[in-house]
Amino acid sequence: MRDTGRDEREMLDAGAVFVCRCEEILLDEIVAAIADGAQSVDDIKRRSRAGMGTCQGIFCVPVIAAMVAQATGVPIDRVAGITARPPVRPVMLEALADLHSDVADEGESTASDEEGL
Amino acid sequence: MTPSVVVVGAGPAGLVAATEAATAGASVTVLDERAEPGGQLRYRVQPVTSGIGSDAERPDRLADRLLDDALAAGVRFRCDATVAGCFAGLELLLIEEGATSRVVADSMIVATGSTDLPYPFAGATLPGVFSGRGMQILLNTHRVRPGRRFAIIGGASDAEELAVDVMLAGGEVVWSGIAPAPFLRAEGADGVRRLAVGSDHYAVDVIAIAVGRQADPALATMAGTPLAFSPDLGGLVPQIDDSLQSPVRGLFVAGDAAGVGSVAAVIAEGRLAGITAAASLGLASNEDVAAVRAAGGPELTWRLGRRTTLEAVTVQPYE
Repeated sequence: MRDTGRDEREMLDAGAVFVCRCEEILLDEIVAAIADGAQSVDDIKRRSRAGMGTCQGIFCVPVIAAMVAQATGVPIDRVAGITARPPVRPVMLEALADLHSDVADEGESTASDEEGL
Repeated sequence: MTPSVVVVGAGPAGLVAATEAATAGASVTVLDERAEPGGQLRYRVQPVTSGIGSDAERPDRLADRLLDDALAAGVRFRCDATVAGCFAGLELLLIEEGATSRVVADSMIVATGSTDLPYPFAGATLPGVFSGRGMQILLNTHRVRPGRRFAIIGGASDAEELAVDVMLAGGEVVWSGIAPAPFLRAEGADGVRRLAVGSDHYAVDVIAIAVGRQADPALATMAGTPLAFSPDLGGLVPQIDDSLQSPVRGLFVAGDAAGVGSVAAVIAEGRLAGITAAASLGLASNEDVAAVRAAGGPELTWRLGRRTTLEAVTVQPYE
């Protein structure tokens, strides 16, 4: 989890349920977002940060989608998830800073395979 | 120039997809984020079958066999290679040893597998609570048993398989079952010491959540493939046709990434994706594709049939 400055111990003692682990967003906060008018998984993401952490929604979206379906009456098979965006795995910024504009075509790589493109 | 195919994911589906495409004449590279090809076959230990009429065999032996087939067909592998994104024109952002590069190919097969479904309950972020497949990796790949007394949450095959793995590793399964999340609570000061199920308390030091898996098609989605909801295939899955082809030109999805299934099902699907990709590059005929589809058996037919009725849910492509 990222350091959100929240006291996890205190929240656990109070019986808190974490729906989004990466951003430490609680079940109660999702419920509150829906009560405030959120109608979709994306609405809840933008209000709460749920789904914006390192796992990019893998852990929380199925649960939030089910809560949206229950709250809005929209069938679960009509509830969209969140937009998939890069990176799908954590990337160090220094690695991205080194990215140059060359694009390797796998079809041209046979001869230079030893060099790892 | 030989047409190129990139396969993302070296699990059972990715390995056979690569072999099919390479055998048909494509230049095939498999990218995988782990150190060794094989995917789920490297961290599962109980016997699996690879298809109709095949005897059950140890997953790692099956992985070795599928890997040998791929190498014999001329497939190239890049392991410890994480694909972090997919952009317009099927351009992949690749990370190897902390360095990034960009890769394109004429065709791409997404075989990125699945992730464990969440089951949030009170105390589920305490040290000692694991996901089911994470626990299998810890026990079977790293040979680490993080405790002695286990509770396993889940009521289907994933939970049953994990219970056997725990016992094989010398652990004790104190409680296993499924209960509504509000009735569950993990307790302990600095790690799991008890699991409360309603008014019952069980003294445990590990809790594993094995309630099922979901497809992980993020790269295909990012490239513009719509998602659709299928309870039979584990929830949100890519909307692809019955040849596993995405509406995005040159993109295919196979295996658990296209909807969770058995090892035999994902192997049958991997073969189909590989030969379809080859056909789209002019390296195989429609008859070749039909033959591979027919050889896939009833589970493949059932899975492909599920896809024909899926209706896309709104998804905003990455721009």
